[in-house]
Amino acid sequence: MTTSETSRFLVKFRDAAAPARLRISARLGISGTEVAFASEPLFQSVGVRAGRSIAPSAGGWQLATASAKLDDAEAWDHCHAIVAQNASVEFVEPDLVQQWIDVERAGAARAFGMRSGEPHPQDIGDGYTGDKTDNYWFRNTKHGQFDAALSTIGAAAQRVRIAHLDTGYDPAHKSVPKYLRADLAHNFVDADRPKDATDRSDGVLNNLGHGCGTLSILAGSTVPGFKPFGCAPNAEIVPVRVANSVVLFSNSGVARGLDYVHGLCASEATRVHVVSMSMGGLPSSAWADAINALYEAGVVVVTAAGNNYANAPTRFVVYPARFGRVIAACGVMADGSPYANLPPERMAGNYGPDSKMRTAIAAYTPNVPWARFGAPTIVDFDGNGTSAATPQVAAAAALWIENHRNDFDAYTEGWMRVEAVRKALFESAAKGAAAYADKLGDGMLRAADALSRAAAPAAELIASPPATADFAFLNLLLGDVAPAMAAASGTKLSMLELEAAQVAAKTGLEAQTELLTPASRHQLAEAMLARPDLSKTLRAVLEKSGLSPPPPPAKPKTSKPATLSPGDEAMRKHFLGLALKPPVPDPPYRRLRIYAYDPGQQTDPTLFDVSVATVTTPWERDLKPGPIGEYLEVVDIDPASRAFYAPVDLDDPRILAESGLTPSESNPQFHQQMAYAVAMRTIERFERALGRKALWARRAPRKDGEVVPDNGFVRRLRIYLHALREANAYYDPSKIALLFGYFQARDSSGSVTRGSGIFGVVSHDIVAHETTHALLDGLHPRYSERTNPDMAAFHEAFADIVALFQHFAMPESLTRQIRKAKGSTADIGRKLGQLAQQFGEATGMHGALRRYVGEVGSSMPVLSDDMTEPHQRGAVLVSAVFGAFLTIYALRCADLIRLATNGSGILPNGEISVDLANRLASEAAKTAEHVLNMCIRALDYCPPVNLEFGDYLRAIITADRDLVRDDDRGYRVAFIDAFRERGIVPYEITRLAEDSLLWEPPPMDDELTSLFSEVVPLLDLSWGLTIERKSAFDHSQSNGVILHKWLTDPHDEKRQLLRQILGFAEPAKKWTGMIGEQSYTGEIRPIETHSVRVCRRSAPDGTSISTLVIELTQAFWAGPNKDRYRGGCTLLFDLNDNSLKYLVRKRLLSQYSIENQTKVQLTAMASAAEQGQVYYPPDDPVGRGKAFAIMHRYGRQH
Amino acid sequence: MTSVPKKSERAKAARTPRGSRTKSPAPTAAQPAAQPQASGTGAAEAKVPEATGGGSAARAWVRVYCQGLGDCILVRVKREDADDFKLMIDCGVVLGTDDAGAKMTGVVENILKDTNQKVDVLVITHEHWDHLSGFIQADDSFSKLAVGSVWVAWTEDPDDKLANELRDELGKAEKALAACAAALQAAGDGATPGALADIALSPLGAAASSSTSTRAAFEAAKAKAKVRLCRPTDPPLDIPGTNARIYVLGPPHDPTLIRKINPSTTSPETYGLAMNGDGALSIGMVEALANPPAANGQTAPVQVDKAAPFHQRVTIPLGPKGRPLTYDSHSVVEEDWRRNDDFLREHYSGSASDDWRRIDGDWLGSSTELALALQSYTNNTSLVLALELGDPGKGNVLLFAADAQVGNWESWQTWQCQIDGATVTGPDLLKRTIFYKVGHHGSHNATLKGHGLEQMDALKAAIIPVDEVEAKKKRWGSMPLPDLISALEQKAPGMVLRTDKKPAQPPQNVVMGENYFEIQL
Repeated sequence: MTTSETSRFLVKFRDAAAPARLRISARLGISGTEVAFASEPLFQSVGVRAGRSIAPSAGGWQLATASAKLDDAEAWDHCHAIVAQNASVEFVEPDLVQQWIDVERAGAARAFGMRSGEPHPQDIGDGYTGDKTDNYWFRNTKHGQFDAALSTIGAAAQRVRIAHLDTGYDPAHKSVPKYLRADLAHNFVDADRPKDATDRSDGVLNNLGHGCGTLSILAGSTVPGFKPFGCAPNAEIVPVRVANSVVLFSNSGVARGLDYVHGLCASEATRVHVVSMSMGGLPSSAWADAINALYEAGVVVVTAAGNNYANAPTRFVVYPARFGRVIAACGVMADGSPYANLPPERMAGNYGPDSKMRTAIAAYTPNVPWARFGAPTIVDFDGNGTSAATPQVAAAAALWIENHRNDFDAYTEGWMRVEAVRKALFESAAKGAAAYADKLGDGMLRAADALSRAAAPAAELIASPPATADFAFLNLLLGDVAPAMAAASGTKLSMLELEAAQVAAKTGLEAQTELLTPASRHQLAEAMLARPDLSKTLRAVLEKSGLSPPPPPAKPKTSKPATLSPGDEAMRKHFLGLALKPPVPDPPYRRLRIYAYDPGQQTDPTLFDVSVATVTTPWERDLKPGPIGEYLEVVDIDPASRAFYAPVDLDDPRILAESGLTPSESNPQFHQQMAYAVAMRTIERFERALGRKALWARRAPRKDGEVVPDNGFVRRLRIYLHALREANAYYDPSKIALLFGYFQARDSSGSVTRGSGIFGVVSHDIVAHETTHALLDGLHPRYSERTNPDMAAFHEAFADIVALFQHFAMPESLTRQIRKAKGSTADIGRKLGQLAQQFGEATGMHGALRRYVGEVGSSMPVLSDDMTEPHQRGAVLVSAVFGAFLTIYALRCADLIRLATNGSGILPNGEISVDLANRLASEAAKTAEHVLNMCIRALDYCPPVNLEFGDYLRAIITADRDLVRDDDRGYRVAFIDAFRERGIVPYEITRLAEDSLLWEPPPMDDELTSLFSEVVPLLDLSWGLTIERKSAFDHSQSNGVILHKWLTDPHDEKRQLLRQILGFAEPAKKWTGMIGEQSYTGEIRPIETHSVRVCRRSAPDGTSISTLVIELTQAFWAGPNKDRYRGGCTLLFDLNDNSLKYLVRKRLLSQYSIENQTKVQLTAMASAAEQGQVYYPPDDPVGRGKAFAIMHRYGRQH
Repeated sequence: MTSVPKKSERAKAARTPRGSRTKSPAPTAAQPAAQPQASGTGAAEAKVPEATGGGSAARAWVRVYCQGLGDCILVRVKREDADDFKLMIDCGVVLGTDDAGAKMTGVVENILKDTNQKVDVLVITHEHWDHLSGFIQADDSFSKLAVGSVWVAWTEDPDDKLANELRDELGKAEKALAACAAALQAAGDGATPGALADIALSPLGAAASSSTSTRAAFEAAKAKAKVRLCRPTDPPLDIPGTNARIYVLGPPHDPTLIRKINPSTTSPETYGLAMNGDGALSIGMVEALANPPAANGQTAPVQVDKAAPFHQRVTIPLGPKGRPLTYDSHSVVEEDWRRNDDFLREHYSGSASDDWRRIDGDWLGSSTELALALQSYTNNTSLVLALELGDPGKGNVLLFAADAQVGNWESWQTWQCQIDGATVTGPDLLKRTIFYKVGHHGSHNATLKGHGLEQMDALKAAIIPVDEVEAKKKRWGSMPLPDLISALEQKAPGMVLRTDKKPAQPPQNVVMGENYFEIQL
């Protein structure tokens, strides 16, 4: 987590010998307010003192504090402004305040005494390994070899000195190192006690005693009752407190800590040989200078590689460990597997990029001893994180120096000492399995083996290039033009690069640079641009680069940093590259032909000539045969026939030139094309309406404890086109796959002859319908459970609404019907209704659903309790939406009709003119599109469980009102009316008017509301528009973890109240209580974060709306049968002002929903019996994934 | 004597709630039924003659054994001058029951003890293990039992054309289901075949050797005595020495009704077992099942697959391990073959981590429906008996419906027979039913509503032989169905007993044995 200190900046002046205090000022922000800065020197030693050596690059760093409070989000804008307006300034960066990502193990648990007086045992399982038989395993010969190493070292003539930069130490703990130099201690956190590095925390704080723990590993004394485990117990320790108890540190604090160490090196009596710092974060240029100075001074710096959950925020090694001149301490577990890529709820260590791993080494974690802060005689055995690995590496370095002290001191250059130590450690490290090479760096630490290595001759040592803040990230993005661009924008390239590197590290986007292709470079730039916190300057540079359409030719990522002088030459080269290979832009769309109507069962000969349509799908680069693209994976296997059909290559130029293969039922490759085209259109429609990338459902473990890869992320929906030999097609949620069937016609009717093949997949409506099931399941996984009478019906109805209106959005499919209408718009409506009905009949698979649509030959359906069959019930909803569509359509074309009829409104007999019909058809298509958008958008406003049709109406109205303030076209009125007429009335709403249908804001007082808005800044919401779906998924998951931790914090009473208001119950293994009038026993499960997602939409009036949608659910497993009852809520935040707008809630322990669920399950059971089908109770594993299969099988007789 | 009026009052009191319901039948219908009830229960057997005021002297006990999910019923009808008349109906428990042998032996031993080792009639209702297993599992004990006559349904008649048709259909369906199970097994789905067998009540594939034992159990029972083939057209059998008789209600000798197993409103004429595409399995599935892979796997199937969706020129047959066939090395261009093979392995069969998305057995999904249909089909051949106590056309009726399904029940609506010049009809028997052995362990489609339970105006007691836990394991839906229980409760408050739940306080006229419930009528 990162926040920037609003008013502090690290400023580097050109003149290193500038006076101690400098004043600068700058006009900042839109208003151009003049802000003055008071500055003081950042460093006392680095770049100042002529010690053994001075870092050549170190200019005059100062810490500048603004006279006014500045806006956080614009920190980098201020930096660019300051450097542009002050000629004496060379470089400016914000003084970030960062938090080290670490386990909470220590924190709350310890403070509340939840850790007993006993040592906490090793924490093994779920991805963590350890050795239960040996709590000190990390020291044994198979691992760190510290026991062996210490036994070979005799009494040292001179003690090695290690600086320990951390949160300080616990002076009362028995593990305090024997040779702790309290006299050299320094504190950069508490201004009131600069010479005291003790950690005096108490109270409810996370990560309490981080420094106490790391110090005990580094050089801890033996604690009575425990074996010794300090790795360098004979070294002198210089404690430096650079972070507070929650491991929150400022860049300036760490920089000063490093500077302090540098200062100590001025004298042999205080010289520091090794630095151990178990923390890090985003890059800083000031750090780079300090690190360079320490390297030159001969100090071995070891810092932690960083920790992550589910590789978020990043799995790349953090700074300063990332600097080439720093040894990064990565993690390796007891069994030799990397401490990396672990299950999402498990903290793991960082690794990569590959270039860094040459100067990284792995030490042992988790499950190493860890002195417990505040408990002087307790040592836990579940020490975890790269925090625990770092002191092991630093200690090994110190032991080596101790053992080779004479050689060490004899080196003529400071850097040689560092390199000699590194060489010994790296070369002696045990190389793990080849597959782990990218995660373990130079290998696994072996202290004794390292000790046995002689000091290398000076000639064999090579100096590492300076640590630099020119991280070349921007260079990777922009190529050679970067310097020119920076120059043009009036700021420093190095500052742009640092800013870009910070953003990239914070978001994990930098992981994408590992495999940078021209395409991904472009995407990366777009993803960067999607960041709200980008400075205007960097934004402008990136945007400008985007204007030059071709991504510059790929160059190896090891390309030299931008040492070329910026200017004309670079530009010239760039243009030459373009001229030699003129870029061809990707087309925005791919054209593909499909059947607009079912060819097989088409009964209306008048539709014959319009049965084929050419549709456009988004252009997918790298579409592979199958087709296999970003979203879909068409695998045409036919197990019943024991056959396979060759995959179509839609990128074949012959196919591209012809808008796809010619429609043909007898060509399986056309089937593949059609399924791909229709499914992609459906996906695109969803994405456009929802304003974000579509994700499929998460892959669930099939049994308890199974770990699914990628945290369950499923990139592609699998589509099987010929999977079944029956009149069925369904979405299988357990396989995240669509299965389509084929069958033989039963009777000869229409154009179909008995025995001819009929394929589900060549029906536009069936493919759109099934794809919609999959999309809906991705959004609302609990909707596939029958927890009330409306759930199954909603899934069916919604899938049909999408299929129907997506169909209507093709105007060519409507023109003919409209021409044939006689008289009034009502007639046109009737004709459209007929068309809708025909679609239903033609599919032959889901026909039953649409029988009510269009009011032709049947009366308007009205919802009633005895409509229990999902298709029958769903038909009411489809009818309601269709009714609204007709009303809106009539309103929209009233003017056209008046124009065409001289105001009479009565159309002449016979077919209407082609022009008018075309216009009317396009109005209908547009209306269909709008109605469909409203229906899809509403999904974000629905409760996560137990949706009822009435809720859906409220969601439609609220979502539309948020986007379109004035209902001047009468859309909402049309919806309300149509729903009311069909008896769809929200629960407990009596007056059906727009205002009373809007979801309500949560019933919270100001205090609770502001408590809740605390949570938004904790989340990383940058991924809302990100191009990369996996990263969107990962961010959603990690935000879920953060939110969950926050909400379920057991120690804040306010949050308990909050949970109650949200409709949750406190989790309990055994719960007994009354729900309504009945007593229940069972388990109340923990609250689950289902989804944290951002949607950004543009309203017709040009404003843009950003909404954060959070879905939380909880289950109650009622005994004795473990019946699952669910509750949950959807929270909608307005991101423009971080306020909680709506709370859509379904209480967990609600009599109403429990009764509903019992009722609907009995009905389902009875209906299964009636249909001669097997009934699978909700928790039956065999029934898993079959819900849609069975429901769709029903009704095949029609 | 003094106890009689009291009991009569209690009986009335117990019925008052029913009277308050609008749908309840007229009290007149209940009145005659209340009469014999007054006689039955309680202390001294000597008082029996006085209680038979309506002219019908009858008394009976129905004992339902609690061995688990299965039926075994012993009916005794009181005879003044001789031993009671004893009727034993079925003797079995479902496959997979723990300790089945011991349980069934206990049941048969109890019958031996309380019948003096002889029953007058042994009724075998239909060929399901849960109705027959005891004849094998407890064969030692069973051999000690003397049987007067064995009754089975006409479906056992080797000379009946319809019976032979049914047998033929069942055989084909069983074969198809076994093929489904084998195909599922081959597709790597090991769980479903077992579930299919459970649902169908018919062991499949490897376990099929024991399927003969269902038949064997049936034959063992039939061998006990002379077999009577019962038809619904048979005249009632008077129980000698009593004013009681037994009517055969079903199974119907009607080609439509005997095949009607589901009350489906959407497709009322569905014939669940038809192998022509009208039943649970589509034509395409039947075709594919009839076409097993050739043994060596390298060549395409021998038969032409009539339901193949595409012409051979666009179809790549798959051989062993799901890889494209080559026939011989000259028949394909290697590069073309490899491209397809690579695609398949990359996107379907090549990686174990992707196995969760395979669909090799999914096309057999509706085989569960076939299994269920198969079970119901046999259920529907159940021999259904109505035992009338008292004067013909007037007495109380005990209804033993076995596992009869929809078509069987519906046939009773038109069933009739002449006795002593009077006409007794099916609805009439239902109306006078005071005791009902609930059909098929309380499942949904084994007790019709309109043409069944709603007509049982005089119902006083019902017993459901069931084991809910076991039923759930076997995916037989909700057994017993809560809806059915509450409907029964409305008819006979407090007198709906289920064998898997011993009431803490048994009702007055119920005796709880060690392994049975016995109700006195």
